[in-house]
Amino acid sequence: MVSRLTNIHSKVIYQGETYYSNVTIESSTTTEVEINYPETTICLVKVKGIINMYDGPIYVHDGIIREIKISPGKDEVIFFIFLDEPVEANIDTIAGIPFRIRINFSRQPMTDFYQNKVLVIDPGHGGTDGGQRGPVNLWERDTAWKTAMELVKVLKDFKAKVVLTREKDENPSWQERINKVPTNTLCFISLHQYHSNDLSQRGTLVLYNELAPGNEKLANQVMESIIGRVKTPSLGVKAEKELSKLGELPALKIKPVTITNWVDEGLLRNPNFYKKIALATSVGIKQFFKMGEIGHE
Amino acid sequence: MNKENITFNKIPIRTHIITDKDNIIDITKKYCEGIAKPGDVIAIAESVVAITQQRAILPEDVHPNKIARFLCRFPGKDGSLATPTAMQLAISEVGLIRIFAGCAAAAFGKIIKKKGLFYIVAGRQLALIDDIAGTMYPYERHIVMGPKNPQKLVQEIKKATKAEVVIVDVNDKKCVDILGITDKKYVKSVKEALRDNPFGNEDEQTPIVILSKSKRKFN
Repeated sequence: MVSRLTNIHSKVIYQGETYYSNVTIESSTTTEVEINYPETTICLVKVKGIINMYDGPIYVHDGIIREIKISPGKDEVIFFIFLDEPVEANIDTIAGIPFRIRINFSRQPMTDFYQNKVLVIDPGHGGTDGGQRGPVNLWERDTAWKTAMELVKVLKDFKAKVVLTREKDENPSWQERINKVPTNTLCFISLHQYHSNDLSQRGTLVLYNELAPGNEKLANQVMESIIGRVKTPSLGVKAEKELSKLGELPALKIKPVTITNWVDEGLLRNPNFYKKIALATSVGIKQFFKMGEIGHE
Repeated sequence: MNKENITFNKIPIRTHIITDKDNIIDITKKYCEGIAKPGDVIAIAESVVAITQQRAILPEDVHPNKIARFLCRFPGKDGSLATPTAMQLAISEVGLIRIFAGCAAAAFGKIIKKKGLFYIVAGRQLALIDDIAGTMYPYERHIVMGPKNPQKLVQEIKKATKAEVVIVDVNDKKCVDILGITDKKYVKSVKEALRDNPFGNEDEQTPIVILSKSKRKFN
């Protein structure tokens, strides 16, 4: 009986005290699979069977896997897994219907980059200062806090050292927030939401510290990573004076959505949205600094 | 009473992003070919059926009146009728009298501490409305209404695929609402099989799940 390939998905999983970027391919019956690496950052998976699923690409962008492309043949389907890091996968199969092929790539390169690095997270507003309010009921203060908590979790999982500029219910001044920045900080990330008097305005904005060399590129990298993942419209990147008080420290003010818009406020109701923003931000920052390392070499 | 106790294997199918240009019968036939057999059940998520029926509506095409703006303040803010546009569409769907009757029932429900009376009185189809940002990209900008004529549609899809068909609303709170099914003897087993939401509620792109019979027991 010919196998029908029915599904493919990718997510970050935690298994045996290790994080993996997982790709799972499903088929209607048991089938044969072959894996090889034509280049260090391309993993090629050949699976016997006929394709029954949509064969369009999958944008993953989780820091290890960039994208998956599918090439269906007559009795075999080839999956091209494009990697950001030269990581070899371990592969296993699970019997049953559907039959599952699990391909796990270690996320160690993310930890290798972030381990012991200091990042400062600044959740905007706080306490009695709610910031901007959405048309239904969400406040910028609370959504910035939720984003910050997800980002703290992601970075701590990568063994980074994280400093928060405020507690949940306080609103320190900008100077007090800056005073909390340790000297060995890699990057300062302030979290807010954009707002507009034009209620139809949607989108993501990333502001950067123009005194820090290459910071516009950092902002672009993070912007690309965020909009690729959550598919919000880009409002571009801009320099912001307030951030230049941090001197030459790489610093961003990230505004994932325009909270005054109905749709964007609606996105903030989904708990997974915050997780996506946090992961995308961590991936964008790592990619910028890794590019810098390659440049130095 | 039917004594058949059926257990299903669940096979989610990754589809393209289904739009109002697609025909749900053709799509189901295409993606289930060679897998779904007579006796299996093809489960289809209600929101994609509604999208193919042009029932995904952009908020800018709706002009909420004062009553809609007023009434949308009362439902839960995480619910489906929290925006004036969604409330306006609800009014257009069932009429103002039923909406007011539903509001009265909801107010009474608050006194006796019973939830859900609004939808029982105003109409079950209102519970199927996905408000802005309630559906995945690129339909997050739309309000998606419930599908029209689901019972008739499942029969048409069965004709094309030869398998049993169900159109369902499933969420991550383990609620399974069957809107149309070709054979009622499957209701209990289908609900049980879909309780863990094999369609997914994120970026899965699997609005069709084939429930393939794994075993039969006769008591």
